Amino acid sequence: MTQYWVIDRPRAEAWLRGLTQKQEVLVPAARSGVWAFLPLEAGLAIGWDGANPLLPAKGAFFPQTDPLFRFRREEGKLNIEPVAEAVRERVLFGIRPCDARSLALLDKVFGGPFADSQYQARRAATLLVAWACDHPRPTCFCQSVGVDPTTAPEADVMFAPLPRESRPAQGSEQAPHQREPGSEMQYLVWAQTQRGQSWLESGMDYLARAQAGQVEAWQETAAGMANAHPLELDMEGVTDRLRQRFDDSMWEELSARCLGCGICTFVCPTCHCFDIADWQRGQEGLRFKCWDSCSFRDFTLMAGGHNPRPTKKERIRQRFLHKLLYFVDRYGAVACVGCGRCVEQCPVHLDITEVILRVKGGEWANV
Amino acid sequence: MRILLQPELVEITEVRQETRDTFTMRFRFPSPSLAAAFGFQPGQFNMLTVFGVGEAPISLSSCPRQQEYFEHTIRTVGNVTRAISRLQPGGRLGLRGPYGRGWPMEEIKGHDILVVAGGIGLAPLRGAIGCILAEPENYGRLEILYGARSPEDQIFTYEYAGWRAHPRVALRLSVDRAPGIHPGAGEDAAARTGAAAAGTDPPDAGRRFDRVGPVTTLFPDVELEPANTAVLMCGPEVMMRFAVAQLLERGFRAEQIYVSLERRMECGLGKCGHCLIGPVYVCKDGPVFSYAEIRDLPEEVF
Repeated sequence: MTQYWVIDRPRAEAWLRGLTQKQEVLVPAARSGVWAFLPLEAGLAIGWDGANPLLPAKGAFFPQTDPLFRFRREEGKLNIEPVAEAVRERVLFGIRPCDARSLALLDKVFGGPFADSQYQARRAATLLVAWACDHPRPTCFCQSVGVDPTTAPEADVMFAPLPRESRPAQGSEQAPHQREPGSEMQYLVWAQTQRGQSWLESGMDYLARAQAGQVEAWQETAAGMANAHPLELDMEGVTDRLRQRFDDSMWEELSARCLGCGICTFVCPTCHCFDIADWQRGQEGLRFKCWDSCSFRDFTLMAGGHNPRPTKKERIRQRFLHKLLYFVDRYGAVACVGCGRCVEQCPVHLDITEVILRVKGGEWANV
Repeated sequence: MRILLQPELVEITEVRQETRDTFTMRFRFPSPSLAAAFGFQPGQFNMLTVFGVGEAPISLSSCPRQQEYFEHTIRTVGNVTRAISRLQPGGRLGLRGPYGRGWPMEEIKGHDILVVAGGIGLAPLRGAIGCILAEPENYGRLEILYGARSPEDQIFTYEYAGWRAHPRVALRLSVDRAPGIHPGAGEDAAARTGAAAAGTDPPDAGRRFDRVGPVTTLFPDVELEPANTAVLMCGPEVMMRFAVAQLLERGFRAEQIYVSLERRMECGLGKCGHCLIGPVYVCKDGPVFSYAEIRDLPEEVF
């Protein structure tokens, strides 16, 4: 039987800020105007009311650049030193169900044979606290790819915003006009794993038992959210249809627009391709892993000059087919969580939902 | 934390210049425990590191039965291989591996073997040839077809006499071009040996050729029948395209033809995504595939 708790925003803030005394707490926040999951610190505002961060949660486990080891030449001898990174226990707070699903997909890639020990250590050290998503954007289509925005099965703990009428005041002595905006917000909280349960137990100073009707009120809200997303796609049969569309003229057409900038791959929570490169200065250097993109010409370019994907047509086809066909064949799931980041960020409006619609033989309403 | 992407150090013990731009390096592990632990299958590859320059996937070119050392045969084509080419015996490289699936040495036991190689594509096959010749009782006849651009571009010429001396081995050589000989002049070319190609100096005694043209011009000379023959093939993609097509026409089945593919790789572990062909990672699922496994992949392989 799931136990439900309620917490208001000021108490949740106090709890999280208190936690930073002993561990890292990553929260949705903006730095220099860019929304990402950032380590909570004094002066950093938690983005309670913001939309899903531009930079996906994957970066907490698969960072944009990731040092692998250092090397140093001393008296003609070469020494390799591991990059000491003690992976500490931490909390990733505020990921949405779409990003939580993306972690389950990345687990398939970075686990298995030749598992990536750095990725796995970070995953193991991180408690996931997910938010039921009541901020769908016009480009969101998570429900079309099987993500339920109201729940993230991958998370240890769920936070769900309670509708206003089911929020009895939680012992606030301040007059309404003295409160921070949004401080009246309350969240229904429950654990989904043993680890999440222990975490909640450590936070009992901040949590109150859910009162009669609050769970039902949330469930009603959740049911209402089930079809709240503006963008709806029928994914039925898309993977199999794509098998027949490899030589379609659609790829050539789409690629005419593509700038090859790679933004779609960098903001994608499931894109996981990476490069390995060396940085050297004098007798010292560093080898690091960094995000790479199949949109780039040199992604497949070989030293001898041969390039199996010589034009944008092959490269854009690779991006969409990897997500919607190859990943399904390899790992049994579509590598798209419907977060809409690529749709929103693409400077030339290359849109994965357009591809899906066209493959289904439907019309693209907005064109 | 020790990670899979961190290389070990290996020492260069010997360098042999094969051609103008290709050399073979012999290596050993300075660490005795690593030396003892290192074993590989012919057709597998290592990621070789020049620290500060980068990494490149390079096939192992020696026979795994030789446990004192291992070799890589490298053509200078990019930053990493150029940096490797500047190293001398006593120098050190980083290495991680061996990676990938090599030639199916167990599955092809009891079969005749047809080796089809082009250019530096002979490198990953040299170890397979060595394994077959080391236990000839387990295999049938062996025919080696090797095509190079010119007699000067042939690699492993010092091996040819030994291969030829074996009663069950036939070695047939083609070159795309040779001084003074027109393509297609097969009979004339066959008559010429080292003297015509690269002089008669003993080190070059192996440099000769049977036909002028792509490696497929040797196909009419092949004696092996498709019925009980396994084909091991590696070379430029355009060569493999024509060679596979002609073998299929001759009655070989796609399942009997094994090819080794080349793609850009970063991790070698089936993670980084660079070598993907459809859902297949060349680094981990290959680089050796039966043609049946890759024939229907969405992206054109060759």
